[in-house]
Amino acid sequence: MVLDEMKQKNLKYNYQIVFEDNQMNPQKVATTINKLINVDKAKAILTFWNLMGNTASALADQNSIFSLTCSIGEDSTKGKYNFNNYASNYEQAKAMVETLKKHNVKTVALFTDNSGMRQQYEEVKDYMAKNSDIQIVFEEFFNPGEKDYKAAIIKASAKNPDMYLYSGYNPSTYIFMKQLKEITGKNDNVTTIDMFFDMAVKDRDIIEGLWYVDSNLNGTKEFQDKLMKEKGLVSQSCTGNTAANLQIIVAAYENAPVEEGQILPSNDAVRAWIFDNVKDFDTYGGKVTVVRDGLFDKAPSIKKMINREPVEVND
Amino acid sequence: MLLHLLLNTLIVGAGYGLMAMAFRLMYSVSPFFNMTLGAIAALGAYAAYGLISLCDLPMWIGIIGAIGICILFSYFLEAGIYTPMRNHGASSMVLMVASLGVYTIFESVILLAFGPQYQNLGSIHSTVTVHLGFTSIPLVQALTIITFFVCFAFLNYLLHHTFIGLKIRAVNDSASLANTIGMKNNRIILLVAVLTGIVLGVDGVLIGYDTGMTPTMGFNLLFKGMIGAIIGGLANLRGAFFGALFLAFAENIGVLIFASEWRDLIAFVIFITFLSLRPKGIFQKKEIK
Repeated sequence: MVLDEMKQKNLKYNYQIVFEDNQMNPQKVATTINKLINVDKAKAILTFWNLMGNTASALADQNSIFSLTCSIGEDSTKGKYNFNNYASNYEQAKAMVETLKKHNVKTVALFTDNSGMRQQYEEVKDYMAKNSDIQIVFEEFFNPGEKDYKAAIIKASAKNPDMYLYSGYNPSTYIFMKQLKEITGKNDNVTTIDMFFDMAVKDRDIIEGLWYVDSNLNGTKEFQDKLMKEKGLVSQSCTGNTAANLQIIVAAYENAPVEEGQILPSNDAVRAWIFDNVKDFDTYGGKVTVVRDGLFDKAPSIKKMINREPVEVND
Repeated sequence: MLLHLLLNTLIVGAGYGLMAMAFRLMYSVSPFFNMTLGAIAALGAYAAYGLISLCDLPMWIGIIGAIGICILFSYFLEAGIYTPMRNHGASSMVLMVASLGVYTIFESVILLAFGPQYQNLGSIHSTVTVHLGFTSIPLVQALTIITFFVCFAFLNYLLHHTFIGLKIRAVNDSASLANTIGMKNNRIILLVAVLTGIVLGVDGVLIGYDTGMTPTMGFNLLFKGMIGAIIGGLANLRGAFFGALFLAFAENIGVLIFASEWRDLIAFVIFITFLSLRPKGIFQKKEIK
């Protein structure tokens, strides 16, 4: 939808999106990205979430092409041509701890997925230790895809924390919330960074009324309305960020200078254009600015689940 | 805390135990590592989801329909794939590789039909709880425990107090001897496939209601059930029953002492330890001299 709309503005080059679905299967991620690079000869890889973002950025770096993602953690910005349209771990940790302080939380229990989220929660712990008197009374890591939290919840609930800080991909989030309620009789004292938005709308009753830190761009109202009208789709996790990434890379190719005798601008020229021009840049994800090392300057927002939808509250 | 933990052991162990009993039952007449048992359980969950959530059928019709589909699938696998292969002299290794192929096809079909995303049959607000004095548990978990005990009692009775059970045990003891005295082994295996379909269909539906389903759910369930059956001992049904409970208990105690991230490691360490030190499991078969 985004590319079709950009094409109506008579672009210099003929852009094509090649889509590969790896079904979020770790065994298929590298294969599908390698196929895009080696068979389809993609100039840029657009991905979301850290499983794909980290793999794409590493492979893109090896092949000197662009990777633009929307993923937790900063590993995905390590290559020369890699960009991550997401809030930094520090900004997320700050938003989380400051909101916990506002809610007068004194003790927390941490349940963290052993993936990129672990870095995120290490940052939370660090910020918490330096800037608050909140105590971590329980901390446990679990493997991605965990389905039985009950024994760990029994241990954590014995410490009586004010708040549970949970991080894990769905369906783990749903299962954790369900099992917490089964064991403690309530689940109104859980928060997370990002992961509630990831839950299917039909499952969101279980998180109704809960606040969380969110770095996803839902997209502008215009974008969300168009997406619904033209495709019948609701903006999901990273939809706005990915639309913005597409707009940025196309704009960069369109506007970067082309060396004499060349058909396309060089990667360095495209990269330089992004760093020089993506400042308060209008996208379907809202205004975005690229700062250090390909990371985007973006503070996360605080959202609350109201009628199954995330609503920005910022308190 | 200990009571909660024991209860959780029972809930988790019951889930593993149904698979362990199905694995043991099937293995007793068709001794190879049958990967498709995981697929049958996953089919139970997805068939119930399809019938109840997508076709809007009443819950009980959906559940019975799902179990019926599992019986047919299990029967088809045995009659259409493994029996002809066995008749052509296929070894246990060849049968296992064939079952891996069937499992892969099944997983791909589920992915195409339902997508990779998580699905569940019940929501927390529709969950009825059962009060146990010190705590309460969702009805589906109570039903899982009850089903586990009922299945064990039923299968135990069937194997040890009926003529059909005698035939199954005869094929288990010596398939060639059973064949020599005129027993139709393939019919016995098909009957066991039907029983396995029932047990795994029920297991799949219960898991679908409790922790939900993903296309890869069958593989994890099969592994835990298989470990339970092997550490308990493949010689009899008691082995699968107690082995699954032992595995669930060890995992829960492991999480209590160490951490959740060690759960699978604990299961496999126990598995390897048993294979090394007591390969025939806790309940070993009495040797007749």
